[in-house]
Amino acid sequence: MSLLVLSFTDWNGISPNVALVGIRNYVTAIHDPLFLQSLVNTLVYVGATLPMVLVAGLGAALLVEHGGPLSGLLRVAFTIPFVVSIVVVAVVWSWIFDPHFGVLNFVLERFGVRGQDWLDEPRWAMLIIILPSVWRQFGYYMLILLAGLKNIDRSYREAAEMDGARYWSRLLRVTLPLLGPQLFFSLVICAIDSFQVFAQVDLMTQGGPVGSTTVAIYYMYQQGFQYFQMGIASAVAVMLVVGVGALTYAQVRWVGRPVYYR
Amino acid sequence: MHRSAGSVAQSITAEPVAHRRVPVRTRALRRRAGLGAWAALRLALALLVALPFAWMVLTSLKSSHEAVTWPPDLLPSVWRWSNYAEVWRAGSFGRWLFNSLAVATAVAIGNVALGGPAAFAFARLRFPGRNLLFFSVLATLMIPGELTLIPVFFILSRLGWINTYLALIVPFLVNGYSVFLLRQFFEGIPESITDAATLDGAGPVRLFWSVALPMARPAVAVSMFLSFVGTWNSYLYPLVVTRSVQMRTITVGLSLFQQEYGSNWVLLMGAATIIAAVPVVAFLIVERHLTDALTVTDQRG
Repeated sequence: MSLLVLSFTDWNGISPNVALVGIRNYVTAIHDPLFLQSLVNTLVYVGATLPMVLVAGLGAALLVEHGGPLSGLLRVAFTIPFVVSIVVVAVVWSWIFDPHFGVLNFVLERFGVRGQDWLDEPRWAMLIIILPSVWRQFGYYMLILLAGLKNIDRSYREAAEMDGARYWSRLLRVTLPLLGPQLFFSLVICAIDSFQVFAQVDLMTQGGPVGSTTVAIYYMYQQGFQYFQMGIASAVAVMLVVGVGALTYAQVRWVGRPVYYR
Repeated sequence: MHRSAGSVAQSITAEPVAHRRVPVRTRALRRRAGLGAWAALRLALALLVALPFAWMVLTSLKSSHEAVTWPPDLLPSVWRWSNYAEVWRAGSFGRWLFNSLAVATAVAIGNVALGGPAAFAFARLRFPGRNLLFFSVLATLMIPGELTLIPVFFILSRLGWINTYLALIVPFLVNGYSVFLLRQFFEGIPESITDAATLDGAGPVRLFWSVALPMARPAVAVSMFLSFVGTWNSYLYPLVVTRSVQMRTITVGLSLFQQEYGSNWVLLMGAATIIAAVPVVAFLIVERHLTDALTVTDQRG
């Protein structure tokens, strides 16, 4: 609530004097092309991260749950990136992507591909933000999905197997539908989480080059804590709350219902 | 487990046919080879995911000259463990480490000390408004944390807490997720046990402290782990509520390092290794409880 109030004021983050300014902050934000770009960038980020994380998480969960050698090792190895701070992840991947001495360019050149100044190219920068995010997060969703797989009554899948169903059709017809609640939970949480991407941008690109990686929270941070325009930052936050809320509602409505009330 | 049960069923039907065609020894050999390839593939996957960490640690042990040779060498020619002493001396690394350890420990303890009784009350006591209160706790989980940053900042600056430990600790002492996790676990404790304790004259406090809490050890470990690691790893929040170099946490410190020693990759990777090691060690300690805890929480579906 206080966020809503603040969005109608001219607070600069320090001074004790706060005055109401009506909807001026909203107007200013909406007329800033960088704000609009930050929304587009955020949608691109979420749109790319979400499916990659969920597919990787599901694949990892199925692989680990399938049993066989080294399952425990795989589970631990896949989860470790998630427990490490995103700040560490961002710094390490900056080193990997370093244009002069980065190991990625070295490997690419071995295969005859020209290296790039990855983080300085508007074309690549966003992708380079996304990859470490996927790498860090998928293990968490693997754990959630693994927990779901354990909960599935074994007899369902064994019955399908006895009936001679192949692995893939068993997966599509039996396992995945029964995993619906966990997949849905992962979708909602991962979406909310992805909308808040910040550290990767702050550490790897500072929103550049030419605003190509300025995401919504980074824009909010700049307005509030670098330019001391708390009112505008609050207005941006309010719009994001509404946006994320609407998206979550839509997911519950269009994805959640069919999952739970089949 | 599923697999072994399934393959038993399969081999019942498949065995007689296979028996006639392939001699037993070849079959065993072939299966072992398949298993080997399968294991190798899995090992390769695990290594692939671990690769960035391996590169981080290897770089941290090279000389600063060696780190930027082209083409890069995989291993350091001399393993320079003394690099870590240099990380320790750089900037205020020791102070940042202390800040993060102190703040994260306080938050982890607070989550059990304050969230634990709340969770127990939600699970076992009857009082008016219990469900409403519990739903409001759950509702806090749905609010994206980064978006409450500005109102929290506003309150903290009114309290004069900006740039203090209070700002880093107090807002996180209770966390909806810990309350939820612990409540789910307390609910699972059989009524007969708590009833027996009540008959023996234990009040709710005694019941919580001597019966429920010891039984919920895995959930306590997991909720302490999650709150500790969450605090240790957070970045935007401490970046905003601390100002002086002395009050920064370790993650903000790493980003200061990056600005200050941008091209000194050896130092940066050394610092990154230390910052990564703390939660990884904590993770390896509670790892076996983690899936169980997630199985419990996911009954919310």
